[in-house]
Amino acid sequence: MLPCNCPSCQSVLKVRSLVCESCGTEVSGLYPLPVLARLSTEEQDFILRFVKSSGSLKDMAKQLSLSYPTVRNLLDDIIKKINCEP
Amino acid sequence: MKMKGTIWSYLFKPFRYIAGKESLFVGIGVLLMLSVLGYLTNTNYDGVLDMHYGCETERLPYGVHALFELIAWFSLVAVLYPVAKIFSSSSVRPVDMAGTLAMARFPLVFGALLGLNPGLHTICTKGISLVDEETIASIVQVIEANRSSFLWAGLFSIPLIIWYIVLLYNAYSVSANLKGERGGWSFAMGLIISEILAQILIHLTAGFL
Repeated sequence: MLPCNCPSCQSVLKVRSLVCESCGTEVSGLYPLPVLARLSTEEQDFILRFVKSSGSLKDMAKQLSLSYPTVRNLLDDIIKKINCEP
Repeated sequence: MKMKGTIWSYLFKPFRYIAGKESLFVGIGVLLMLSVLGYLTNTNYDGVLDMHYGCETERLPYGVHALFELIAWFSLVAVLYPVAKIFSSSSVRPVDMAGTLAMARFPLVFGALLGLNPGLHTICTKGISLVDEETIASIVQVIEANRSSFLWAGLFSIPLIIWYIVLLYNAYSVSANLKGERGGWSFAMGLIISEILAQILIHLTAGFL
């Protein structure tokens, strides 16, 4: 999983450089991590499933063997987390 | 991300796996079972948190037991649903609240099974004054004669009531996405109000029974 927080002070990390594997070109800068990359692996997995099931929480509940309100609560918690992101 | 449940989560957080219409069907089954068992074992669920063993000479008709269940369920839903709507930022479905709260009454089934013990039906207090010393003395005598029955019933019913309240909280928490401090105190407040409402409804309907 992509590290999102500084192991020393826990601040949100930024991307300093990106490299092209084929020609070795390096692009340097200070880029913020996308919001989705800052979520946990489970939360990212949840969002992927949500998109793949065309946003149907009922289908997701069936796939995950969870009740509908439990799945809806997971989604609400992710929405809350995204809204709190700076 | 397949969610596997443990025995503990099935016992204390079954609403992670079942809610909505399914829980409503199961819940209505639980309420029916409680009314029948209450009638057969002379156990009165006369309130949201109440479970009393009736006197062997004062049996209530089946209709009253069914009404007790309806009143307890209605009081829980009628209070906790609006409380959840006020405090939750998620959408709350009435079917989840009604179904999971009915299902949460399942532990009380074991209370009715305790009621099979005839020693628990020996105290008859209807129409008597508890300030009367003779009455108190006779009650103490009955309790002493059935000491082990009362002791075991007391010891067994405490974990049952705890299990029941944990299930009620989890039903409310899952249906409304309320947890932590906000979920805790809004639930406690709702539970007390629903108990008061149930007692008022029982008092109001007592005249018709």
